[in-house]
Amino acid sequence: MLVGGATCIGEAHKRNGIPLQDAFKVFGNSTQKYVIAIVSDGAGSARHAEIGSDRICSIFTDEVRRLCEESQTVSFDKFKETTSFAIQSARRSLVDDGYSLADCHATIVATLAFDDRCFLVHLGDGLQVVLIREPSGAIAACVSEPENGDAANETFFYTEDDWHSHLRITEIPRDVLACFLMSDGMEEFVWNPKTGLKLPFCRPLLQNARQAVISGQDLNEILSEIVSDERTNQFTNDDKTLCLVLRDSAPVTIHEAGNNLNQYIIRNGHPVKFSPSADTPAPPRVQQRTSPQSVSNTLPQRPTAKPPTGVHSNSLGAPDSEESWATEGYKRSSRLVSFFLGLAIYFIGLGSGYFLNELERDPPWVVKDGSAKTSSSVAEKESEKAKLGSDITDQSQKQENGVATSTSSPSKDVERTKGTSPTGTDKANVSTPSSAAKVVSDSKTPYPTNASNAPSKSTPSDAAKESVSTPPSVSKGTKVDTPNPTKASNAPPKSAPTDAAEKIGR
Amino acid sequence: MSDINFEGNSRQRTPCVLVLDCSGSMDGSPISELNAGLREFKKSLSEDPVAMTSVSVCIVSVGGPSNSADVMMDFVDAIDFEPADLKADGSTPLGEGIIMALDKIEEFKAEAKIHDNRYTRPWLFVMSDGEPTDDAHVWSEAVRRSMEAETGKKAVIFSIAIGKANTSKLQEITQKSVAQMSGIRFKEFFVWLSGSLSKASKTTEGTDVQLPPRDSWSFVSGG
Repeated sequence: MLVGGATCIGEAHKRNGIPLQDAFKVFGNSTQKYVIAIVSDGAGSARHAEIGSDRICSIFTDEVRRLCEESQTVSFDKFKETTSFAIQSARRSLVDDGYSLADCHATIVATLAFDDRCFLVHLGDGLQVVLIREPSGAIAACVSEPENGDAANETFFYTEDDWHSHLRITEIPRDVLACFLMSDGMEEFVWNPKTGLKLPFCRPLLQNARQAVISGQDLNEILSEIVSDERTNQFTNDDKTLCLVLRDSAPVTIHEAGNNLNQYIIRNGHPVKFSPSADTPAPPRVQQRTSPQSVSNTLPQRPTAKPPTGVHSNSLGAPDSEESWATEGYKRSSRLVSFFLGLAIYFIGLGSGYFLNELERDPPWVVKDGSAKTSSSVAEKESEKAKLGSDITDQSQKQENGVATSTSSPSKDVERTKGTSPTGTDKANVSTPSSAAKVVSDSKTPYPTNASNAPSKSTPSDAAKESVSTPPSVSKGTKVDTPNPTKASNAPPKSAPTDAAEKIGR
Repeated sequence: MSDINFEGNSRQRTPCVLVLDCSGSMDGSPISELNAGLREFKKSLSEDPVAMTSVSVCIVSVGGPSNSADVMMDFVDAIDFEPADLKADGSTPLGEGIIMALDKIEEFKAEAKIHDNRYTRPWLFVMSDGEPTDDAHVWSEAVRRSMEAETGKKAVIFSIAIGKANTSKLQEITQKSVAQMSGIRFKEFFVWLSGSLSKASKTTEGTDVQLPPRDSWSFVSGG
């Protein structure tokens, strides 16, 4: 799995001398094959919001890592316990440091993703989208929406007394293909509550990410270019953070699903089918206004019910059954409809690639379930990884004003944070490109205990194993440690990519 | 590298109602400063691409030639906001103006909900240089409605005293301290306001927004 992230201070924050209040942290463990990503958005109305957001990112990552290292298989119940514990610990540590919790208000959007399932945590606003493969092979998007108060700038924070009543934890027992986590500054580019997922944003993002992996470019660069893109400033002046989790080095793009991507909104831990509706025009200006009474019967209703405030508890269980995640009947009819729709549009000359893909023709680089793959796809993946490996040392430090990035490639165990970690635990253990290939090929084997520290077993690919040492200089506020000495190292140490952990703007 | 489409939802609005005292006592330099301030407000909003399309402004004038409270300008996006020329005259039916402003806010919210548009918590600014001249029951109704809106988190209310205004009356409509404008610094105030509106910082349901320092126009830090 591949994970990366980037954050960019908002224009309004710059203008008003407010620090970057978003924080994120990502961690990838290629041995145990899991990825942790968390984004936290500090409230502009809170004096030390940047402390609150940073604190939860560090503590959550540490606690979930510990959980994964201690357990062979992480149960959903254990994950829920750990999440609650992490939040309580973060709250306690803020108070211990002399902060008032009300001064440290921050939201949480987080995930712990394995190949075949993931756990989502959501408290407050921000957005999380998980692309999954349904048992039928179809690709679907599961969306965890923001929870707002009556007004759009009112939301809920882990630092509030009733945090537990707004904490939403969900298990998605499906193959995970990709996962987007973001603060509300990026939300509107990815999701429209009426029309659903914004494919013109998501598709190129995944394409570019794939391209980056193939060419050995850092995923960070892609993400930091996105969050700091000038065009975002037309719509938001808030801090913007985006983390991306991708399955393997050959991410499946939404192209495969065509325009008929199934979309679900997560409600109370269960997927609710999302039906896009036509977007109404932007709010009419006063000249065109009509009275509420005269228009009330003609306007389309929001397709899905707003999540009731305060109903989300951390008792959200795992879905009762597999059926709760996808009903075969629905899928069949949907696929039939998409088939004929695709065929029709194809024949009138608008279709082409998307709809051929809808007929279940996987592109050669798609790896299903991490095991069933053709020899050509393996060969291609291996060659991609070889490229990636050779480029590891070529990655240069990226220094962009106000932008912090962080990534973990498929070939690395990396933990990065954007900012100063109060616990000082930022580490980067960078392993080999070939070990990532092993992640794929070994995906059916049970997780080894204490795998993060265990030397990899000898495989033909071990010849390419490399250790990556501490970079000569690290940007402010972040420490990158040497890799675990127990890691097998058959090749001379190289400089670690120094692009990952930067924090500017605090 | 494929080009990514950045298309915002463009549906969120930050409503802001200004209740402006245009009574006879504002005649002369205060009213011309107020008009200049409004023009500066327009200019500042126009310079901020986000504010230009997300801030909705409504102006209620109090007093003036009609000697009553009037919705001088209904809610309009900042991009279309054209400041009219205010004229000072008559008395100060401030309570009537406040009730009218709160009604406009409710109307705005109702309409936004119908259109499924998002809005940040509405802002209400009441600016006066004198005492309200409403009947006692009108003023007490205005006070009741203001407190209800403030405690119910329906709106953020700011009370601003211009010159030697009676702050005790203005204090009745909000739990926050009345801000006292130092001199007649409308321009500074409106520049500050456009920046604050653009920010519309995230908050809980239970607390008020934290605003940037008001030193540029106020000598009372306020609440």
